[in-house]
Amino acid sequence: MEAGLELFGRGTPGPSDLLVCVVEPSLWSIQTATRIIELAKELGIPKVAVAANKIRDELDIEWIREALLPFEVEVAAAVPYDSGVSLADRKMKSLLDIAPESEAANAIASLVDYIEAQLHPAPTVAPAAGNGHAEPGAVETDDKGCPWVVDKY
Amino acid sequence: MEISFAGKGGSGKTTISATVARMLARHGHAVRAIDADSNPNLAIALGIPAQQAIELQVLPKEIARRDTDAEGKRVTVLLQEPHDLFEHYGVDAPDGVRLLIGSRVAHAGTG
Repeated sequence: MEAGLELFGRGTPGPSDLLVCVVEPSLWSIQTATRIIELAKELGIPKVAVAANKIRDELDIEWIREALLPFEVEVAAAVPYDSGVSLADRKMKSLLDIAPESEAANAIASLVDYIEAQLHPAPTVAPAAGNGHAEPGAVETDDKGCPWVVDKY
Repeated sequence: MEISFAGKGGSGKTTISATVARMLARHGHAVRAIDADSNPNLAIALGIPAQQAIELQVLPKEIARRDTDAEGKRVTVLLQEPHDLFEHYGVDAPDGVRLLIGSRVAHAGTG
């Protein structure tokens, strides 16, 4: 198995509620993603979304959308190729501390909006994009309502 | 809600998941992050100073056991509740994210 899939075969404790598959515009990345998407379905993960990453232009994102079309997954965010990400990586810092206003950080904020929409499936008033005022009370009900972010497979 | 990030090595899972975790925390959610990568870098991507990050405690493999379920599939069984694991082995990251470095769990079967 190629990098990124090794844990799937081992049976981790319980399926996640949402799997975000990070895909860059390369054939290898798409091939890994298609296997991840299929395995996620086998594992019973109810929702799979794609975060396109390192996007340089419209062609990149269109290519990813087209390649993943048969898999019926939503492309929840298109994160551009961003020098802020490389800088954070080289300096061993967080993107939010190095380049909080970068295009990449803004695009990831839209992924957060998407995730929050999954947390609150049918809000009567949608939170304004970007400022993310979650309805108080909707989150703190019990521990199961907490988002667990797993950098996993 | 548990959100997993997957993708080819180098695709940006760590950067994106760390940023998502901190943004969710800034929005008022109680976020628990687990680094299950065999090469754990989530601590640094979350903004824990690199010097500190290399010394962080990793989950001991004794907290999980490899087993076989009724259908004969290999499974990992946690011997402690996840919340206790975060309590005992978790570290605080910026914006109130609680981080657990669990790479040894991933290797429980090989140890």
